[in-house]
Amino acid sequence: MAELQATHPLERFYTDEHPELGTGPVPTEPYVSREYFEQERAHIFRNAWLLACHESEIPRPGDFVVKHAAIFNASILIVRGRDGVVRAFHNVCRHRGNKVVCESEHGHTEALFCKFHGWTYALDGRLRGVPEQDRFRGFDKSQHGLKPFTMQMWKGFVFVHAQEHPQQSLREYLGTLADPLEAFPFEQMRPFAHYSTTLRSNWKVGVNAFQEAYHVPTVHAVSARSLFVCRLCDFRFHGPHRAMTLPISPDFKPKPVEILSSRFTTGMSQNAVEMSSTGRFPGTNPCNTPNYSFDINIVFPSSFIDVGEGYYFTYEFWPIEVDQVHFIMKLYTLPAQKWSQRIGQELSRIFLREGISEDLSTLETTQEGLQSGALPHMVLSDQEIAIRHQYRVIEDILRSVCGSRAR
Amino acid sequence: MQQQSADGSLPQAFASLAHLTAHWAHASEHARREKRATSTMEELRAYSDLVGPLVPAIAAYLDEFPVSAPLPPQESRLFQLAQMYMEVAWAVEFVGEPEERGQVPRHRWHIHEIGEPGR
Repeated sequence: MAELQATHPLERFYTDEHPELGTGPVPTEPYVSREYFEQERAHIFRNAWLLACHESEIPRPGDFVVKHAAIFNASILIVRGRDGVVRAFHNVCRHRGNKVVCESEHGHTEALFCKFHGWTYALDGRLRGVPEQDRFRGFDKSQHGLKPFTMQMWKGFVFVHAQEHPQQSLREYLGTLADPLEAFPFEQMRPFAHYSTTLRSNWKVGVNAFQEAYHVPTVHAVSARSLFVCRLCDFRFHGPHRAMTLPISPDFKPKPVEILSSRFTTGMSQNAVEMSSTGRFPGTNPCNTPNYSFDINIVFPSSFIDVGEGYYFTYEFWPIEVDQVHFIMKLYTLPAQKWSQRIGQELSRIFLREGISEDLSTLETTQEGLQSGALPHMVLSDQEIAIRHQYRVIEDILRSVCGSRAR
Repeated sequence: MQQQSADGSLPQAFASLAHLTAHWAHASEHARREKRATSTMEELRAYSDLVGPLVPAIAAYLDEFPVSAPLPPQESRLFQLAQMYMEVAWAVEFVGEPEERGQVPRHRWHIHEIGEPGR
């Protein structure tokens, strides 16, 4: 081990350090089998804490977010009450089941109003108004508030859970993955970009595209070929969760606009101009990886909280079907203190928006290839060890409840 | 919503860019992406050549205004031209085309707008 520790993180063989994950090919059945997907729905997603939003997206009383969680047939309404408390509810009117908020995924309201018969709820979920209430015999309004959806918060992140009484609290679930992130100043950052798309791919094909850097020279030939090396460093496995660090390439050749932007603000590519990353921003770079850029933190199964110096970004993969996934990406930054900083930050969001779109470009074509059945197994490089870990974690859970699964 | 005065004018020091505001000053990220993706490289390069050298002066000028409040209409348009410069630079400096090929088609890649400071 001493010899391994001395090796530069870019040169280490991570499969040697994690022999339990093996080095052989990995089955593709989990990406295409409807039966496997139903097992994941029942035993993975219904037992997981899933990232829904950060409270900074709903700062004022009456601000709300609606999450369409097809994986548990739920529409979830997350709303800040007049008392400042963030709550989550089933977005279902207690009368005959119509959705209370239908039009938008986020917004602001003074009260929650069902358009079917005009039932009105306070922001804390209490049923406030029922037209013609005296026509309901023996009706007790206090018993018909919106039904709560299980939610807990950590560092301002709102996570939801399909069970009314989860076995683990959110913080217990996050475990040691969250330890280094406790120091990150999430509370100082504000939403700065928000994108979404629905793609015809298995959710794991999506997650996989963001847990290796082998693809950087090809997929990111336009956006970041010179910014990043094609290797992730310091893979950390925290139970079912994963973390890793992406370094900046020492050969980074910034574009003129990146140099211009770096005069005004910090950011992913801006920090690489003149290598101005310190590697010491609170809550980042836990392994002291040289030429630090950002850390990838994957909350099992499908939520990402990636942190860098002065910014963080999240991905949510919400499975719809075995071959369909809804993807949400949000970027948060330290709020601009000056308009010049705000101008510089504009490049950050364009750079991420376009770079992430590059990442997503392979999902549907990969899914089509896998569904052809041509490949019963896929081969993985040492650099793709996170994909191996994901397979192992899911397989172990499903095997413990259903017997042997993928072949 | 962003205020837009009908004349499209800019602060006096940047009056030479006023002819750009009608087509290049957009309040929404979606509109800026559309403008970039549907322009020709000739138009994008011309915009970049004209606005790029002035971005440091625009930034210095706007820094006289607090970020805690919305910018006045003229300054808001000037800010949007600087934002648009960043969008255009993606095409001019990174891609070499108005839009990168092979990405998720932009009609499927939804932008949820985030407000500017002070709003």
